[in-house]
Amino acid sequence: MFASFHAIVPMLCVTAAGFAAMVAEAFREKGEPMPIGPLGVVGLIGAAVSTALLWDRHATSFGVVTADNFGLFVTAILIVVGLLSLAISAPTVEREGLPRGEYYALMLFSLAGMMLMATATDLLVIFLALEVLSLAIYVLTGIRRDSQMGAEGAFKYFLLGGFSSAFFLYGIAFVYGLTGSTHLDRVGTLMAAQATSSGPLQILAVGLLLVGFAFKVSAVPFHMWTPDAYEAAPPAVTGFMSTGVKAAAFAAFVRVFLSALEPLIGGWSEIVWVLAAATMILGTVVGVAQTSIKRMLAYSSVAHGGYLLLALVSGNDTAKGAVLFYLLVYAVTNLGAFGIISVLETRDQANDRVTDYAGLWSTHPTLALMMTFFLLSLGGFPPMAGFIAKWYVFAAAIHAGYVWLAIIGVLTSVVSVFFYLRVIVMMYMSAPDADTRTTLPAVPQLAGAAIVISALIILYLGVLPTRVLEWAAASVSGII
Amino acid sequence: MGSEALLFWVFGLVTVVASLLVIAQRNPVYSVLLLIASFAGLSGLYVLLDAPFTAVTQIVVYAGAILVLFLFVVMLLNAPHEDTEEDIARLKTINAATARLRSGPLLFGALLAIVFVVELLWALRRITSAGRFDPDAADAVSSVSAIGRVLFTEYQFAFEVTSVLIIVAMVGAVVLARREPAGKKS
Repeated sequence: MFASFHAIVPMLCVTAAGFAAMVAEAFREKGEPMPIGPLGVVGLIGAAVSTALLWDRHATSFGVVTADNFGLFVTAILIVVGLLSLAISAPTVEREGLPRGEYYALMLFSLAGMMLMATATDLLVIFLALEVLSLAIYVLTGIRRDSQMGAEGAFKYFLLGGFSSAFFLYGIAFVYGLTGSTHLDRVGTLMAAQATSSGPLQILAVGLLLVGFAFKVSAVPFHMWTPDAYEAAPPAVTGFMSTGVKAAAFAAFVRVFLSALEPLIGGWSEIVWVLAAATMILGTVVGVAQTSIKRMLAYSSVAHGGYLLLALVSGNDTAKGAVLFYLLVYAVTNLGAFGIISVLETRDQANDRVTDYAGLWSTHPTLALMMTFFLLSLGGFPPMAGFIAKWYVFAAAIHAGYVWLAIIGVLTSVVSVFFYLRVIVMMYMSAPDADTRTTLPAVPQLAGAAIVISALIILYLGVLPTRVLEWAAASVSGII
Repeated sequence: MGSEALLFWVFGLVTVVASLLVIAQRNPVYSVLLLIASFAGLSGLYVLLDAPFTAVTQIVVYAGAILVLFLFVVMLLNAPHEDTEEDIARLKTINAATARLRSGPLLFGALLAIVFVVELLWALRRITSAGRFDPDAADAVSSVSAIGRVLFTEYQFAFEVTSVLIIVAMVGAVVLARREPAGKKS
């Protein structure tokens, strides 16, 4: 009887932890310390254990959630994202006096939504999961109530996000109109049957779904909200949303476009080609001009979305494996980088201008070293995991015949190294401003540990990537 | 057929014109009232589509509950001197100042909207196979008991996920809207 619940156990654990956080906050006396963050860790560990147990089992729940290895791999990435985010959030919540129970509850609900989005095989459920994760993240973006910028960024994100959700829903409606079903494998077979007469309605349905996904992965030209939202949110939240949302959205993107809508690939591959090229180029070029590290990483996140789109358009099994590996590497790297931004922030000052990082090497040598690792990995330098990830994406693109797109990718990576190196040069070779040196705070232990662990994961994945790459490659067969 | 087509055009026109007028109003109260009119037209369209339950829900939930609430909020927030002549004049000068800044994105947005509408019309005009939809399937989901059955069998999981969605929305609303400054309770 309980067999039908197996596939949703990981997200049930996380949801339960979210409710536990809410209830714990409600029953907390004023001033009573209560480990609300660790409740989330317990839930995530539960999710990790169940994910490991579900591996290779191909469990299905209610016919709409499938815990195939692809979904489980993304779930595992999301668990890593969750653990690191909880660790780097703790000092932020403390420092800013954020409502503790609500913060962790929203973060955990959003994680549950992401996991559901990665494993759902029904368009309706994918939409609901998208809404769960988005609503929680809109609120987290604006959770600093005293920050005007936070309110502005959250509101922009909310309005544009609501708009894009409407597009997505409209696309689902057209798919339902065409096939009479929202279930992905049924949509896939019926689309394949109709593929010979690829009419305007199919194009419209695919286009609308594409807009919805492109917004969530912040592909150009649907990226306008990204820099504002990323800058406005507390850095810990930015780290969480830039990695978690990307992982979940790309998982669903791959599932919908490379399985259910694969028969129409002739109709959408050129559009995604253009999106990928524009995203890589604009993300990189505009990123060069930024003076705030947060905005720079926001544009870098846009550009990384472009590399992932490049893998998506390639469409073969190598590319799907490359997407999974890339998502993992990007998640760990970006969370580490935002962890550092987060611990360097103080109550009154964001300390996020590039010049604030001048002389970090002399004041916080370990942090400077870690930041160097993360930035080099984002830029794709050889000993770091980012290099391997990009290598596989470009290899998949060339393998699929998208040589020009791969060339654009390599060129933009080279340009992007410029802005990552600028920060590194600033950290090591510039003298610190006399007054900024004193304002940089001490590093909290938990967040520091999370940062070091991220750096170690990146080094490990960069030097010995074979095992994880094999897992990623093995988990893409039989996606539904 | 004739009367049904006539009703379709009447309801369709009411819906479209009312929706357009919603965004053309300066006074938000009128906007809300026009939105109710637009929803009424929509529910008429649902009746024509053999979906009486959806039509009734549209009236009860949207026009009845949500928009009345909306109206209350608008009226409570609407300061009496909101729309005076000098305010409008001031807004106009601000608009003129920012017009150049905004005209680029505005043009881009307008262009996208036009492209979208043209595409939609083009696509809908070219549908020839209207018989693709199964009329029995439509009958099966239009009665209340059929909707209930489908909701708790086929869409059971989606229904449960919606409850989490609502919890998230409520928690979020409380976090963003409560009066005490965050962090008082530490």
